[in-house]
This record gives sequence, C-alpha cells and structure tokens, in this order.
Amino acid sequence: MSEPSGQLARRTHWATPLVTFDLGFRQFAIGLIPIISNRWWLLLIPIALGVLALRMAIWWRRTYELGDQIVVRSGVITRSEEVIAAARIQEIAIERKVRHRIFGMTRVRISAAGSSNIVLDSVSSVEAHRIETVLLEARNRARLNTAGTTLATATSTLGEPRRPGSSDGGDLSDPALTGLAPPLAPLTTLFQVSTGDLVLGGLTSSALWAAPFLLVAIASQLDEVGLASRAEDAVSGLSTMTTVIVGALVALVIAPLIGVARMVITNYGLTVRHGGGELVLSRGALGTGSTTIPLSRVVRVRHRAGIARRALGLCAIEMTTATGIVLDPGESSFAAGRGSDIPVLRAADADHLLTLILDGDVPLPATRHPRAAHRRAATRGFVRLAFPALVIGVATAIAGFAWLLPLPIAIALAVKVWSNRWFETLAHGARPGVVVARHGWLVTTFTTYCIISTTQSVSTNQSPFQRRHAVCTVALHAGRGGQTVTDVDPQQAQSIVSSFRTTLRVTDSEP
Amino acid sequence: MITFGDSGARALDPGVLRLWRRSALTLIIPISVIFVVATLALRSELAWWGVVALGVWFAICAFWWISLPIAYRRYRYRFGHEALEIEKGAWWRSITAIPYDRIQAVDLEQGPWQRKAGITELRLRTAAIANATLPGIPVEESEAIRTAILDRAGRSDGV
Repeated sequence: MSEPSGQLARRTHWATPLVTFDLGFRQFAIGLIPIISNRWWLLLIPIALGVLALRMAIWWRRTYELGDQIVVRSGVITRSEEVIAAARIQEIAIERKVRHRIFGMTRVRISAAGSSNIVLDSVSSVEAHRIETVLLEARNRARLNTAGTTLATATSTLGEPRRPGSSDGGDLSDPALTGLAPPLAPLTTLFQVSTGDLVLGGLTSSALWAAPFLLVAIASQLDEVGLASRAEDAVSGLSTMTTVIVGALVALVIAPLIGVARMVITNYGLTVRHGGGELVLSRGALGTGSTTIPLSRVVRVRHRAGIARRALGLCAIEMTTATGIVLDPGESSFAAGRGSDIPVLRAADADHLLTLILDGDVPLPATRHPRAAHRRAATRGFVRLAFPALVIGVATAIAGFAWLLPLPIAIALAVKVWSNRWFETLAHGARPGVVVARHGWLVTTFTTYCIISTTQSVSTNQSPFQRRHAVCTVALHAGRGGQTVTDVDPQQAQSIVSSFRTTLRVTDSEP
Repeated sequence: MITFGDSGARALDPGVLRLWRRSALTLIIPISVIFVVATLALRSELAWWGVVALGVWFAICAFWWISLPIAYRRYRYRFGHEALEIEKGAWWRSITAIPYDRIQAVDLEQGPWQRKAGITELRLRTAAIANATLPGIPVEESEAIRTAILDRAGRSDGV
C-alpha cells in the first residue's frame, strides 16, 4: 500500500468530526433518559468526548487523492485503500443533509458499478464541485483515449466545452489538475418541477392506494359500533361512533398530507439540467442534493404513470445505472443513492428527457403478445387471486364475521391489480440499441426502456407450461435490475436477443 | 485450446453429475430418516397424514433424482463470436448469453469434493447482479478458459 503522495492528498473539512459525530451516541443518550435525574447523565460527557476523539482520529487518518482516479486511504489502526477509476464512475451525488447544512458542509458520494462507492462526508461545497469537475474531466479524458480514432462519437457525447468558472463548473483553482482535461460543457436546464406538480404528485402517489382498504376497515368498525349502539348502552355507543368517524377523517386527511409533505420536502425545486453527456438532478428543501449521472452509464429507464397521473398529464421516471447501492434503513431514498429517480414530472418533459437518454426517437411498444400469453396471464392472475381469497374466505366462515366479507374481495382485487402491474407484459418493441416493454393495464402502466449498450447479459427462459403454449421469457440483466419480458413469441424473443448481439458489435468502441 | 466462434456446444465434466447426486443424497437421506421416525412415533394419532406426507416427500425426491441426469444432459455451453452462451435446465430451460467484453471478473472455485472429482466451478461476473456459472469444468481446461475469456474481456471497458 502506497503512502499519500505529497500535496495531492487531502483531508475532508476539519469540521468533519462534528458533522459525522453520532456513532450511535444519540441512541445511547436516549437510553439514558429514564435515569437522567440521578446525575447519571454526567456520564454522557466523557462518552461524548470519547466519541469525538475517535471521530477526530478517523478524520485525521482519512485522505483522498484526485486524478485519473479517486484514491481514499483510511483506517485508524487497520489501513485500507479504496480506488475508483474515473472512467468507471456511474454516478456522482452531492448531498446536503440537515446536519451538513448546519455546518455549511456537503457530502459527496461517488459510485461505481456493483456496490462499491466512496463517500466523502463533509467537504466544503467549493471542494465538492472541484471533486466533481476533476473526476468528470478525467472520465472524459479516459473516454477520448479509449475511443481512439472514433473521434466523432467522442465529440458527440462530449458536446460543447464548459466554461471554466461558470456557475456550475465549480471552482477550478488547481490548474495542474485540469490543464490537460477537455473542458466540460455548460449545463442547460431541461425542466424544473413546480411545487404544484409536486403536490399533485404527492396526492397521486401509490401510498394512497391504502385509502380504500382503510375505508373498508372503518366501515366494518362502524358496523360493529352500530350493533353495539342498538344494544342497551346507546349513549356510549354513539360516542364511540363519533370517535371512529373522527379517526377515519383524520386518517383520510393525514395520509395524503404526509404523502404531499414528503414529496415536497424531498423534491422541492427539482431541477434537471443537461450538458456534455451528463445529467444533473438537484432538489431538496431541508436536505438538499444533486446527482450527476453520465448518460452513457444509464442501463434502464422506467416510465411510470398511474391512472390519476395520466389524467393530469403527469408521470414518474426512474433511471438505473449499474450501481448496486442498497438502501440503508435510516436514510431517505434520495440520500441512499436513489437520486436518479424523478418521482413526478410533466409528460412532455418526460418525452424530452427520454429522447435525450435514449439518444434518438423513443420506440413504441408496438408488438402485442401472443394470445397464449394473455391466457397464461389470466391463469396466473386467477391462481394468485384464488389462494388468498380461499384462505380469507375460510377464515371468515370459521370466525363467523359477516362484516369481514368485503375484505377478501378487496384483497382479491388488490392481488389482481398487483399481478397486472408486474406480471403482464402487454407489448414490447425495439429499435437499434433499445428494447422497450410495457407492463400493467388500466391502473398503472410501466414502460421500461433497456439500453442495449449497457446491458450485461441476456437470457431466454422457458418453463414446461410455457413450452406447452409455445411462449418464452426474455431477461435482460443490467445493473441492479434489468428487465424481464414475459411470455413472448419465441421468434420475437430471438429478435430481441439478436438485436442485443448486433448492437453490441456496433457499439464495441463505445466505453 | 479455446477457439471463439464456430466451436460446437460443450458438455460439463461427468464428475459434476456425481457431485450433484452426492449433494442431493446428503439432503434426502437425513430428512427421510427424520420423516420416517416421526411418522412411526406419531403412528397412533396422525397415521394418515404421516403416510401422505411421506408419499409426497418421496415423490419430490424421485422427481429431483430423475431431474439430475436430465439437467446434466441439458447443460451446454458454447464460445460464440461475441458471447459465451450457456444453455441449461431440465424443466425450466434457459439460454444465457454473456458478451465477453462485459465480463468484469472470472472466479475459479473448488470445494473439497470438487477437488477430489478434479473439477472446478467457473463463475463469470458482470456489472449486473445476475452472474453466470459453469459448475463443472475439468481443472486442466479451466485455466485455459479463464485466460482466454480474460484476454477477450480485457479489450474494452464494457460497463
């Protein structure tokens, strides 16, 4: 393991130990609350000092170095070295959580394929932008080198040069690092999601599908209360009924309010900008953040539109790169590397964005599935529907609760909707470089675009039942997910697979 | 010697079938013993259910046992021009193509039983979560395959 080489190795900001202080200290302090009157709380002071000392040691021993790669050396006792080559970067996320904003700091997350990512907690925002600029330029330089003679490809992805010192170009104070790099293109704003749209998005988010079930549950409660009120104690029955009604109203109002508040706070001022083959998403009211996604790293785009959103001309877009970051339990979805999701946007903006990501016209899912596929989907839906309905029906009959009857129907419907959403690919299509598949019917439609040049492998699968109906499944593997196209005609499957191979030959030079 | 392109489909080493059979038996025998003992012990109360469960269990085992040689026969791989193609599955069949330039790493793995049988498990890792494995390659061949694949994989940055 090599030692940090001279002036290039840096530490994160000196305030890092304060920003990253926690280390489970909060939980410990909360645990001490019951005995706080006994002066035991004084114990917290040495513990806090100890945690701070440990944090300071961790901060002091952690350095990073920028160049054609980012190298992080860390560890107080056991030293370790992490390296991500700039050419392999999938996403760069710049985040400011509330604790960072208190200290005026920024967190930078650099993700490569798989689950490897480097987090630089607490650097100044100027330094964050410098890191981003240096790495993106190094990446572009590497791509120019690999592209070799195919300069046309390189220039088309690089776009116009970005002016040094422009508002988004960051502070290029170190000319030694950036002198040889091709300049980055200026960013142009593609669109900004208005707060009104965010409110509408919150009101139409999938969490609200719980509302009908809530109503059913409340109705059944009301029924019981009604029975009780007919009995001897009418007054107490009535008051219980009032409580239930108030509870229902509160639940029905609060659930959407929470949905809206979450949506607005996390995504406030969501802006999508584009320049030099990169997409920059920035957002946030309390914790702010921006994510830079190299367009050439996008492996899959999923377009999602529920029935209400379609009526309002809204939809959602989720972009997937090959990063395999798993959500940390305590973190919001945005902070945990899911910064590539746009939870609500106008349909026209979505079309514009898709054209940009897919680098050309957006293919339509034109090929309908064979009839056997619909039969199979219906059978599957029925099997999924029958089993829980049977279980709940039997349970209801045994328990003798007549008021529970709406419940199995509701659950059966939910299962039907669920199976529609995920298991019925209605149509698919392809143009060179992109495979598209549409799932879902009536309620929520999902259209998934798989980009062939970043797809890792492809397989066709056939179960004994599928063999009987002469259909098969095509699975494209990419990054965290990929795409499965269920029950297609084998010839169609072959055309998808062969489009994969031919495109592969064309894009061989593309990194 | 590995030639990319027109080489025909290859089969796995027969040792892998013996290995699969052995690992199936290490699961089937203890569970069957527990099952039979439990059925005999509960004879008086749950006789019917015990016999039915035992019958189902043995049917599953028989199905599994029959599937093994079929799965072995159907496991084929081919070094295509652009991609490694793997065909497998006794009942649920699949064909997977992994382009060489997408391969990020090649693992060779050998457990004690595999060492005894003289075979290696070759695992190909791409940037996707799904990985492909070739469970039974003769040891002497595995090195050559690995070198050939890595040589092809090293030519471009395929993420």
